[in-house]
Amino acid sequence: MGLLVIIFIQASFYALLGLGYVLIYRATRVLNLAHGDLMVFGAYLFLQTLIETGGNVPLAIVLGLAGSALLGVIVYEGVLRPLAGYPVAVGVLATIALGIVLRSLTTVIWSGQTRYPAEYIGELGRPIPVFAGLSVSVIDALIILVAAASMIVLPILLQRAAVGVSMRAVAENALLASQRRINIHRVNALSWALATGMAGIAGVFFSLKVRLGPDIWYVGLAGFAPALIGGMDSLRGAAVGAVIVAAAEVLAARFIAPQIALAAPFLVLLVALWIRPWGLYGSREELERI
Amino acid sequence: MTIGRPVATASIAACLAVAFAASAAAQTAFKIGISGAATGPASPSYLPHIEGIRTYIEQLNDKGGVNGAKIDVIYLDDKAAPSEAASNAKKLMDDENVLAVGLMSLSSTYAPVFQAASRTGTPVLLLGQAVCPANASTPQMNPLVFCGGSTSDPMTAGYWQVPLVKAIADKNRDELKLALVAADIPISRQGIDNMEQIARKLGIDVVDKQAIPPASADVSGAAARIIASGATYVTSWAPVTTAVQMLGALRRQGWQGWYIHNHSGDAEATLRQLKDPKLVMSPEYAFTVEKLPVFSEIETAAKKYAVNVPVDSLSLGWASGMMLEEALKKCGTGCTKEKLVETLNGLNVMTARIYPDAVKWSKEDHTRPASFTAYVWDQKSGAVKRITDWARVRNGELATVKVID
Repeated sequence: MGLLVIIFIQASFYALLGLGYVLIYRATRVLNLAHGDLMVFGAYLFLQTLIETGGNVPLAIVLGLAGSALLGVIVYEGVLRPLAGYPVAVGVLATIALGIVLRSLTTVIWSGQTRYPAEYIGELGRPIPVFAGLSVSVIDALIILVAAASMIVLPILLQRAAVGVSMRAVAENALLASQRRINIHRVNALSWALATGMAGIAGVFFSLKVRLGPDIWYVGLAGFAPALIGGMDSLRGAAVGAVIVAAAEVLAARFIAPQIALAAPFLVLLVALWIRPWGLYGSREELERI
Repeated sequence: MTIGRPVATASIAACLAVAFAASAAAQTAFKIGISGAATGPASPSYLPHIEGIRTYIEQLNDKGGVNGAKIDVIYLDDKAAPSEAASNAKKLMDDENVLAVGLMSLSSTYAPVFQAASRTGTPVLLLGQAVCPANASTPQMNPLVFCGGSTSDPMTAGYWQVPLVKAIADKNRDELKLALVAADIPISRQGIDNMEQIARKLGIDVVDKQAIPPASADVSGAAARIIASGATYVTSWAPVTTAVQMLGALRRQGWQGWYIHNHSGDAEATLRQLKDPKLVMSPEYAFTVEKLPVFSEIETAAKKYAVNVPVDSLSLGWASGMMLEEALKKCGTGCTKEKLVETLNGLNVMTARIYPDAVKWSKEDHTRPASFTAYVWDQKSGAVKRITDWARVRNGELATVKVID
């Protein structure tokens, strides 16, 4: 039972990361390999606000996430938009370069020193008894709540809200969408803002739960396997993929060895790709586009 | 005999030229290379020390340098990657022909740098938080490798850390069931393998041993395994990031035991920020709570040169700078690689007690004498405090640990 809770917590975090990959992919067909670095940058914006405001957590969260979203818009306008019309691979390569630039920038601005933003908040790691002898820490409970809320809100936004319909239209056929007077660049910028905001949320959580340093960009890659397993264009798929990946990791670490835990999700990914290359909930057409 | 005007003019010109050349020779800088992990996953453990030595050398140069000559340091980033380290070594030793290379990076970068050192006869100083390899002393001695870093080899550390765990458990009258944690890198695994052997010799019940991949996003599964094993104490010989991640995962699952870690450059800051009263750091250097005069000196320099790193993280780099200064001072004008190696073989330098013992190298032994202590976060005083006396530790001899509080 305790292990199920651990899997659930880990899956929630991976889902937050996976959703970021899916949001950008759905909108622009770009596999964003700078997601981890955007996550780190968002977490540093949060920390900086926390320091500047003397530990005002709500304000730090709002400004940190707003900063992350703004960064997404800047990235789209400055890096991806000029590459519109080029093959998708060019965009992917651009995100690799972007990641390296962001990593260096982070080190220059905040130094390479490890930070623990939780020191400004405290008691986040304290376990709280829930039921049947099980306990969940405050930070883990928050991760579960935010991941669940994202899984409810984002599909509604994309399916029912006007902006979500525009996003889907642009993703389906940008030319047709623009002929229907949809401002495709504004919609894409919004998708990037949303995705980097999600990356920022994941970064804030990781920094509060574990630590913060320019080196934790690799954590962002943990959302890649769930998104691929679930299907790069499916929000629901990212959530299901996250559960599969988290279960593989936790069970491998608990019953085999922690060294295997890192490889386990990718073993699952290989099997998943072999059986269903477009992902559990992805569309076959998307695979052909890739 | 009279000297004609042309001859006199030529003589004066020659004298001036000689004087100018002599003065230029006196001002020639000592060229040193530093290859370190300034970026990349390992950078949090190494960059502060690079900043520390940079600050020390900057203030030294501003004071006039060594014997009137400046130290010209070429800093190269190896990203803790062996291939980058190899290319840095080539650039520094072949192209720049530096007198010595300071290596401030992961142990996996050592081999290519040592190879280049042997080929070019360049001494390599392991500085900052560098771990001392086995070939720094006889019988596998590499005559060009000198250990000036904060971390003894994993063997020596085990002879302190395991008795420390036992002493704390004895003092608390706890049942001691020990779990060992390493990062999944060879030297760290070697460290806990050695600790396991020592623990078994001491009759300690080792209930679990595991190596955590450094790039793990979450270690909750591994923590669950430790809890299931019934461990009451966990000890690690690993980068501090591994220890902090594991400790956090254990605490979130309700584990309340003691966690004893070796140390890192930011060990003191980690204690201060985590405020966990059962997390112990056991370093080989003094934390700033010892209030040594040198810490004020570092603080002043950090302010002057706008270095955005706390004093406790700069001190090891600062001590490295002191070693380098002393070596170059003794090597003197016209210092060559050969002369520097000879000088290093007899170096004996106190680092203002950042390291409690003098850093002393001989022809047979290039390791730094190791003394250890332990610090925790004291909730009562709201500060970091030392909980053991300093103890001199030698490889193969169990340390005597005296817990003072």
